[in-house]
Amino acid sequence: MTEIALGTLVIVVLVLGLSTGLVVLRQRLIPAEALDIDVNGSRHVPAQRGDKLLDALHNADIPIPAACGGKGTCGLCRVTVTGEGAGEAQATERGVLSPKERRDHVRLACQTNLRGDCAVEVPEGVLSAGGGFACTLASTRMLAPLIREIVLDLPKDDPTAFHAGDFMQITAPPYMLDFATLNLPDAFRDAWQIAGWRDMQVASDAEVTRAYSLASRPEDAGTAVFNIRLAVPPAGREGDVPPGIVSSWMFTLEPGDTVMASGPFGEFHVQPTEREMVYVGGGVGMAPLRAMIHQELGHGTPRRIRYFYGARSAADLYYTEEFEALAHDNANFSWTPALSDPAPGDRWIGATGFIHDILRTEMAGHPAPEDCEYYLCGPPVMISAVLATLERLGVAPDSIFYDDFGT
Amino acid sequence: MTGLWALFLSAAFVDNMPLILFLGLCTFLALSKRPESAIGLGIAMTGVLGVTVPLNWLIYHGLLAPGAWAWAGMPALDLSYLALIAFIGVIAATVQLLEMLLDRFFPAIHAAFGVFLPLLTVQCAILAGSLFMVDRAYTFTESAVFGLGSGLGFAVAVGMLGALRARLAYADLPAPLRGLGIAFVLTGLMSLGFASFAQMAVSQ
Repeated sequence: MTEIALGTLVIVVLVLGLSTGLVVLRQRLIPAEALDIDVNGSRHVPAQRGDKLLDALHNADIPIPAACGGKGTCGLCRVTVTGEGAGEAQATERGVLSPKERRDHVRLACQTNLRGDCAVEVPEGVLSAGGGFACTLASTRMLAPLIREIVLDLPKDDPTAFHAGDFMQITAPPYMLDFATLNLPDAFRDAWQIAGWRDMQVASDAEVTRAYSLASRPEDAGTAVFNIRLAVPPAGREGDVPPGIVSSWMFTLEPGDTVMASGPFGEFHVQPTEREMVYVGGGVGMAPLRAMIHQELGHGTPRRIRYFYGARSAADLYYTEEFEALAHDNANFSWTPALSDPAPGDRWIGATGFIHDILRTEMAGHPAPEDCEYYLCGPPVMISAVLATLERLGVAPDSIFYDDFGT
Repeated sequence: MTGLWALFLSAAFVDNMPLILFLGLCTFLALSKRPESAIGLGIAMTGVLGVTVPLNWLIYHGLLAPGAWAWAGMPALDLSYLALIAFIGVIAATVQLLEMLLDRFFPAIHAAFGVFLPLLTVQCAILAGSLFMVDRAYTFTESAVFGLGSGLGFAVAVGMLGALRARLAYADLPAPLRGLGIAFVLTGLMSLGFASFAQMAVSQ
């Protein structure tokens, strides 16, 4: 008995003693220190020593985009940081930032632990965007079993210019949703029933922000068009992985609802050259490519444009008539949809296979694939497969531009 | 004095932690990609081992060893089964302290360590140092010398591997061997080399 009591006492006193010692030392060594961050030389933002730069900027209503939620993977929160307070680039950043960016003091705001005062350069558009603005939902319709087109009316006085390829950030308020109550068109009811998506539930108790690419055409001026794919859990894991918080919320919206958005932001733009362009998209990777293609053809560009788009089955293909009409009206535009897994009822006579294989077959007949520019947008698996294909075709990395949804 | 010197040499070379006893290999391989981080790890290991082994000696012999409570009239009391948990506690606290010191004074090394610094808490070589100390019944001075020696041995080994791997950046290795593959081969070769230090123990 004495032994047990004494043993417990020894361990408790030892652990308490060590923790107290550490707490005291921490206060001595790392004092809580108020820091001052200079933003673009025009604003000063307060912060505490040890804070993440991203959090400090967000607290000051500077909406630096961060699609991955500060995990250091999406690379959207790139900012230029100078001054001693930023410290060295973390190992997580080395995977995302190019050597040139690191030489230019570019950091990921979400991976920068503040240790002292520093100066931050953010894009001017971000600084003037403020905390976002309220938009009204103009229309919404299902394009494919998991893809919804959502059109927002932008505020009339919004001066921000939109470049094809940009994205906007959308903030979902706290909400709860039972998917059984979701209003679905008849055409997609069977697909949902079979996949069991009707049984899903999702709840969110905080505001959550995600980035979505704009699919707006020039004639959509004054509105913002999105293709939202519902982020469903992997098959068989519906129980433990919740569906996407913001995408689920956007599926519940009806015309007239208010949506908080900020932006547009983006680095994924058409390059001002004379070279041929090849677009490769998959899933909702359609969105920025549609904006770019419409913008280019709207200008009456003389550049040759090819568009390869991959989907699983005919039900997942959308905007088909639109691109067929474009290909019919423009001699310099061609579009190749391909299905990786056509359903027997699809009566599919087009290309069949994964989009990177279709791309390889088609470009093998091209006299100089390395002289084209490539614009890719789609799920990360598709991007890596297409990058490998392009490497085999001898395309230099600086002719390839892509957006992998920041995941 | 010669006894302590022999102990130091034997801890550093004859019983080299990563290369002879194969302890602490995870950090040994993970942090030896570049010489700077390898040397940083070596210094951290020397510091942590040099502090924790004598500190654990004090705790073990003052509180846990059989007969440690004889002065309180309980000569039969044996708390040595608590040694493992007490040692881990001391090591965790020391690593935290080290992390704060690095964060404050050497932020570059702190950034290079990243997640591996907190992982030193559960590094087998560091715990092994304290367990060997109990097993081999070292005195306080011996335990301090042993801790420093094995830490320094680790530092020498990881520094060498870091330097070798940095030179290999210019070698045209077969693709499957690049990275960890060749690091394992190098570790094996270095281990063979260190095995020859066993002669030192015999001849002293």
